[in-house]
Amino acid sequence: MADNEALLSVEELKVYFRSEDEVARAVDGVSFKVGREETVCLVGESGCGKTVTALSVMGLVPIPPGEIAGGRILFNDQNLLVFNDNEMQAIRGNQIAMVFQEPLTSLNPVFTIGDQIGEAIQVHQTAPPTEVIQRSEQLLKDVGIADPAQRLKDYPHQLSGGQRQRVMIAMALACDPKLIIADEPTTALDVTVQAQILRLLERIQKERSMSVLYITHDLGVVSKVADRICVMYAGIIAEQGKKDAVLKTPKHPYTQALLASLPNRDKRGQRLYSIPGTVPNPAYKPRGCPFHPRCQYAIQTCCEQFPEMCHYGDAHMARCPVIFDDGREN
Amino acid sequence: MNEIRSDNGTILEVENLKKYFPIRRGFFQRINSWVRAVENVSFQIARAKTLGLVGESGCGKTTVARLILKLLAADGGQILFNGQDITQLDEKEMKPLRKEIQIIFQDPYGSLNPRMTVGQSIAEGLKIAGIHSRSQQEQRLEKLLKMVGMSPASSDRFPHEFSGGQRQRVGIARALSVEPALIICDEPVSALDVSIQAQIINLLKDLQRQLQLSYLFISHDLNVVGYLCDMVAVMYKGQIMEYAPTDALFDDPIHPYTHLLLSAIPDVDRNNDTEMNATADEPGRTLNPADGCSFQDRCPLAENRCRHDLIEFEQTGPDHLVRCWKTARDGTDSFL
Repeated sequence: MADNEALLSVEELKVYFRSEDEVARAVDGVSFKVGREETVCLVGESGCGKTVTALSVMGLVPIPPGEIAGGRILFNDQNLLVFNDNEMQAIRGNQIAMVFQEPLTSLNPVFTIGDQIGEAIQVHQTAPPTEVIQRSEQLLKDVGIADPAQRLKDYPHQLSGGQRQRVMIAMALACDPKLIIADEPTTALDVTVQAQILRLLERIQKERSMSVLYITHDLGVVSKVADRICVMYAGIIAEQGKKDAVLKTPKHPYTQALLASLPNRDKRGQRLYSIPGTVPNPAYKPRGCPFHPRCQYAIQTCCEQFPEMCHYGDAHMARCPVIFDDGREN
Repeated sequence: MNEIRSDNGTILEVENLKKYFPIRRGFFQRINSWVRAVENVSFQIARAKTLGLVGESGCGKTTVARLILKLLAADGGQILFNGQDITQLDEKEMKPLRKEIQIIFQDPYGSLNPRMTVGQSIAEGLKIAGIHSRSQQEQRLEKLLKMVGMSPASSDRFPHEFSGGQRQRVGIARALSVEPALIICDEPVSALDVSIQAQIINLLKDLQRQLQLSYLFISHDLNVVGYLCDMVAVMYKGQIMEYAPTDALFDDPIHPYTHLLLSAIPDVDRNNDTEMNATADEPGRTLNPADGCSFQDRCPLAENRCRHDLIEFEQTGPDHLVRCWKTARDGTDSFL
């Protein structure tokens, strides 16, 4: 962290979705901070609440059926959750921007790239058309698109997947945001293109001193981009800490299991560790620790009591009372 | 199964396989040019072994799968299954062989009929396998579900009631129902979460051991391929660029494209910061360069000869073939 003060601070956030007969507790008491010029990764499997967390920061959770059931989201020390639509509009896209997973569905197929980047600028700033075009060109150049003047006249379908994602990033950068939320921005891309987009994000972050909240399910990507990691499971943060602490000395059994279940060539011939069972339905989460039915170290208390955060120093913490420093005591 | 097989040897051999797709233009839809989707692809799959076929999207991996299954007719080359040339067989002659080669798809939901129960879906295969009596079918069904780690009770339920991993298990049970010898796995774990992915990979390995299955494993995920495969073929724009035993490919890659792919793998356990600079950003829009190597646009080593001459496979080690005249001889140190 370049600065001790956090740019974004999510405190005990709870987001529930109500349907007629059940309440899905998608995010159930999540707290984390994103420092200035820091990249924080939210990692977890599908349905763990990582995207809902991101959407809440953007004020994009559909209400109803969604409901912010508690907590605060402090951005520059202002609580975004008390903002009305107009106030939120001024922040969204301007100070906090988002890059989505599927660039083709996030871009409008009937407008040119130039129209769409221009729109992103004009929503928040008044500028004459010639300046808008000039700035759009510069943005495309910044994200590494060759021949930007020509590309501005192209429609999304004329670009490749990697170029579309670059355009999405250019749009996100349009108003010089302080925080970029990237929701699985490289999941739909080939590995070689993914590597380029990751390098691009890293470069832009440094150049513009931005913070990034990076959402992904891919621990490999996390190991490349993160400064700090929050591992989410069933709406809670199971473990968080600096990248090396979490990846090299994981404390939570879920993090340990995830890392053990990654295939790679060094494990050839060995059996992969596989976590039994599946992610619980957010409407019917088990009592106590939500991971206990799948956990190999679960003890009686895990089934009854929601686990406290245990601290391991240097902001490394895990919500599991069973695992202590050397592994599996108690 | 209907043939006597030796324990060792090759189950599938593909030689100089070709598939061109026409690009039609204009009012009369005249053929304007051809996309060389698969060009001179050759490989072998040994019995009870796994061949990984890797490459970026659009490189022709799935077309190769469809050619082997004879869902597409090849424009050239040979496909030998158990030594028998199946390239020219018609539908009728192919039918008994269809049981022997099965496929598992990436999207298990899209490949199951939503109106059929899981049991009905799997039983379709059993009927084709010639098991018609109810009691026999039920017995087999129970055994198949058990084999893939599902409870027999699931056979009365519909695909939407299952999670992605469970659906993939159903897909595998369905492929197994006709007792195939070769299964083509087309990105079978790409759509699954990490914890589920490990379950399915373990299942595929267990089944291979129990049933002596051979796999053609198509994937873009080099971590999975490195874990699961015995041999790997790296494809780029319809051609195989490098073909080698897994360890040789990962430890001693020779083709510049293989280097590029390996350097792009994000892996938790390795710090591969030695990133190679590819000169162009993605597989270019030009479908086929007129002459020379298809990787020339992105290759940092490309020189005059690469743009003109046809590049042939060269052997650089035991079972290690490379389609790059430059690195195959000079070694690879020059650009790392």
